[in-house]
Amino acid sequence: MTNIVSGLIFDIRRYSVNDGPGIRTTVFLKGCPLKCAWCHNPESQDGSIEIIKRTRQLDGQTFLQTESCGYLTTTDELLEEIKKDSICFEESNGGVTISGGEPLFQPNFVSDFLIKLRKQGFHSALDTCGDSPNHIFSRITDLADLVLYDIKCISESLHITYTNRSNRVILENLYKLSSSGKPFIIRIPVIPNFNDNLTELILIDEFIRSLPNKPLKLELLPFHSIGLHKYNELEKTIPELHPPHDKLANIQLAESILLHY
Amino acid sequence: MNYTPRINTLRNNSLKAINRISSERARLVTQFYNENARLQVPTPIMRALCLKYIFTHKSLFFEPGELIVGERGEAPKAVSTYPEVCLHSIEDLKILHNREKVNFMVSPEVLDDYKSLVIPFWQGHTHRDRMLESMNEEWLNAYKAGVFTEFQEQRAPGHTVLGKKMWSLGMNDLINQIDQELSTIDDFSDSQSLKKRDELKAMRIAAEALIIYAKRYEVFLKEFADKTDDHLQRNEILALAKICSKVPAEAPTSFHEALQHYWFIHLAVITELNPWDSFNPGHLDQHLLPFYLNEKANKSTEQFTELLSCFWIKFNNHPAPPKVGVTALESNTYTDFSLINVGGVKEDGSDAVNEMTFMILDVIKNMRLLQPSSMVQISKKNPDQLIHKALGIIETGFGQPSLFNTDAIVQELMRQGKSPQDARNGGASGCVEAGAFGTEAYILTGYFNLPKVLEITMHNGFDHRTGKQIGLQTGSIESFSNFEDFYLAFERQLKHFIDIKVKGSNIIEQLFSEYLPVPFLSLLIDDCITNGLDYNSGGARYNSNYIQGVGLGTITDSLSAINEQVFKKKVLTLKEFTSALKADFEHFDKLRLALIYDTPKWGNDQEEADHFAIKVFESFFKLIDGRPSPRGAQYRINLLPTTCHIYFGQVTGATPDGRKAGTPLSEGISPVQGADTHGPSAVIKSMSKIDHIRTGGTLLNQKFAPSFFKSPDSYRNLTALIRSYFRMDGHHIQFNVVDADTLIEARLHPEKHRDLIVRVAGYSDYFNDLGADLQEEIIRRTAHELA
Repeated sequence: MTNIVSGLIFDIRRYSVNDGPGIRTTVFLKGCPLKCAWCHNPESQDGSIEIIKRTRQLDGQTFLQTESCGYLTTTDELLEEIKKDSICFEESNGGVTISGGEPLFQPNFVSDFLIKLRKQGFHSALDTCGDSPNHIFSRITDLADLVLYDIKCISESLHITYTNRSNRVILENLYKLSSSGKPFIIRIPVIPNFNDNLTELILIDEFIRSLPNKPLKLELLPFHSIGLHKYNELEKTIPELHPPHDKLANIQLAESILLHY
Repeated sequence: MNYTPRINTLRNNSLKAINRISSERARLVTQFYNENARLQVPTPIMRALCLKYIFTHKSLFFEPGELIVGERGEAPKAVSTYPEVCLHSIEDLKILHNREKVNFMVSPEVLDDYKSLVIPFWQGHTHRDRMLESMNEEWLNAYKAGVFTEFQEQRAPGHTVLGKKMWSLGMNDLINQIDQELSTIDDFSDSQSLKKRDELKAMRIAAEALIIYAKRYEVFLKEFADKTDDHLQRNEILALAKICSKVPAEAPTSFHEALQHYWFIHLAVITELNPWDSFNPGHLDQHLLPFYLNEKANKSTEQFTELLSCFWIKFNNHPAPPKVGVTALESNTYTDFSLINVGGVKEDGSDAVNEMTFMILDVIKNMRLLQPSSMVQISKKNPDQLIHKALGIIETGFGQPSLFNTDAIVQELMRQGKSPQDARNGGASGCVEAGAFGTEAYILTGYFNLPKVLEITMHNGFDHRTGKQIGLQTGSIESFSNFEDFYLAFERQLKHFIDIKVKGSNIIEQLFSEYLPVPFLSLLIDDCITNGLDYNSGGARYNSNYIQGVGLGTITDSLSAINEQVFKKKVLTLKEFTSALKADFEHFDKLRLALIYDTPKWGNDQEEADHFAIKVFESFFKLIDGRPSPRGAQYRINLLPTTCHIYFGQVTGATPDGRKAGTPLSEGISPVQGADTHGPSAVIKSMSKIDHIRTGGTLLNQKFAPSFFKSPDSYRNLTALIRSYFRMDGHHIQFNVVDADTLIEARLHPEKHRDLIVRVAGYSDYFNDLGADLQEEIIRRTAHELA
């Protein structure tokens, strides 16, 4: 008898080539413990189905349409969707990336899905912010082939101000992950007025140096404001600390300090 | 770019040369027929003598610095006309001169020649006149409604490629073969013995005609050398003269001779008549390799590259002969579809990639010319390195080379009955058309407008644009209570129009066999000599006729929309749908929004829409494949539009997929412009649901922003995407690398973007030379931008 586990997702993106090796299908789970001020996927934050107002263009005219954002799916249904790109995965040594939101927000769904992926022989990557109780974190990362781990900043107070959550568990989990020998990639969003300064970058660098095992690589994700319109569509207010849309992060500085891994 | 001074000059001259009409050929042909009006000789011999007359009298051109000689007209980009096939009126010539896009300068002298000599002689007596007289009313009605086009209305059947044999044979060898055949003709039992004899004699004259032309060049170059003071230059010209004294009479032995040998042959094919597509040297890397290896020790890479560059410039000097007719909307381009093949497999099935492959690809990248077109054949046996090399050129954004699946092409050709060796010696020519090089006459007969047939079905056989009942009465729109009944009516209409098209093509084929044989082309393609039979009469070892389906995406999405909105969701009746289409969606915005945004679409790897593509494909295939033609060919299908989806769009009203009247149809097998929203892997999955192996070519165009090539792993991932598509038997894929902003900028400021070449559909063209509609469409095609 199969156990039917459902999860809430808001998007599936195929030919995803920036979330792990090869050609991948990325599944975006809905719900996240953090509320990052710069978030470009505000529809990913809330762990419930939401209403979104989309504008559609036709011959220069704009039409407003209401749609629901997020839908429930079972791991079996999801697997069928994943299988569609099997050949591309094989040819590119790619696979599946589970992203969000925060996948660990739906641990049973994710672990069931990861087990099924492994059975099918699909390479799996888990894209996480790491804000999850230790035991859940370990149980699930164990099932993934690769972890894409986000670090925002090291200072706890800054983290709380900008994400609404402490980063203590996050840094602990990263340390544990590194000790476990599981391959991982560190991804750092480089955000203006937040972490694109010498102090924060050096702290991040020192923390990464202190890890028992080095990441496979380190990726910098420069801030962009492509998600701004989504706040309106969701009728959410843009966070007070959201960087202005034309503000650029000091990516050169971040590169000079961090990109020696 | 890195050009030697010689190439820099020649290339610039080629780019600067003004496209213009040359009346030389028309004048010579008219004089020949005038002078020989009383000559009572069989048609093939008359045609061969005509070619001989042209080559004996045409002007010779030489530009100092050239290493390959010979122009079809008096000079680069002076394009010949073919009044025996179709006759330009004075008005046509004026339009060609004045039109904004793809124009051809027409000098007062040319107008004079036409007025005083060419028009008076040919008016009412061209192939086109004979052809239009031979077509019945139902053919003319369907043709005028835009259900199909006819390739052989204004251009001769051609569409073939030089095979292996001519790289080791000269014209004298062919003459010996002909004499051998002539001596063995069996007058006792062969009822065709006289015809064979005439045809072989004609081939012999045609072979001699080209030798005469080359020998004239020898003399001409020697004279030129005598007048040249510079010692080095004089020696160079004398060396060229020596080459012309040898090829094409004898087989080439050096790299340089091989290129000049081909070029003479090419000129003869496109001078004899105006075949569509022109002609092409086939597997250039394989053919040139032995010559290269012989000389590699004492020639530098630069010397080989320079010769190849000169060869490239020759192609660029030869624009396609322009059409007659006031609008000339159907297919309008300077490109004459000479598609150079590299890569793939050898005759024995092994990996054919060699040093020449990479050298040729470097030349393509460096020359960056509109012509010749280029493609890379990719077999599972070829290394990824070949694909990476091709991507490195594609990334530079001039639309070349396109990528082809060798293993699929071989299967396609073998399904049609070719031997494995002949299939492997084949490849693609023109846009994407599979053929056995050197052994097959594969004639494209015309494009076929699939969505138009749907439109006619919805109006019970009536065409509103021309105001005529052109189809069958397959039932009023109210009479269909389920999708299947409606589809059956569509299929009946489809059969009706395919029948009309095939009947017409069968007649046209006989007209060419009877009135315009091609003894020169017949020399080149096996087994015309041993069969003693002309290329246009079925002399080739393999003979195929193609009908090219256009608008697969549009019709798939339209059927999906009818099924979804009428029969599944019951949002509206079929009759109401027809009214909305007739109104071109005026006051039906909400419906159109639902059709565009909320209806399953082809190209997203979703069964709901994709199974309609398979359904249409199977109907089209079943109604065409295997039908016989008078010369013994079989009809086959392929799915490519060149630029005809624009013309077909103009004659087709609004379609159920939300497309407005008059706008372009979808192109090739590609999804409707902008309808693919699930990324390229979903696109290739959808595209591979139709059985490419039972076609002779399909065209898939994917537009990528330059950013797609920039990430460190992009080449690897694109290679994997290509390999995946080809593993699923995809026939061809091409990438258009340019961002929409650049294109919009180019449309606003064409003067700043004169070098902008884009992939159109199976070939590349200057963006500025495209019509506004096509420009708009290319801008709209989904740019698979990565965030």
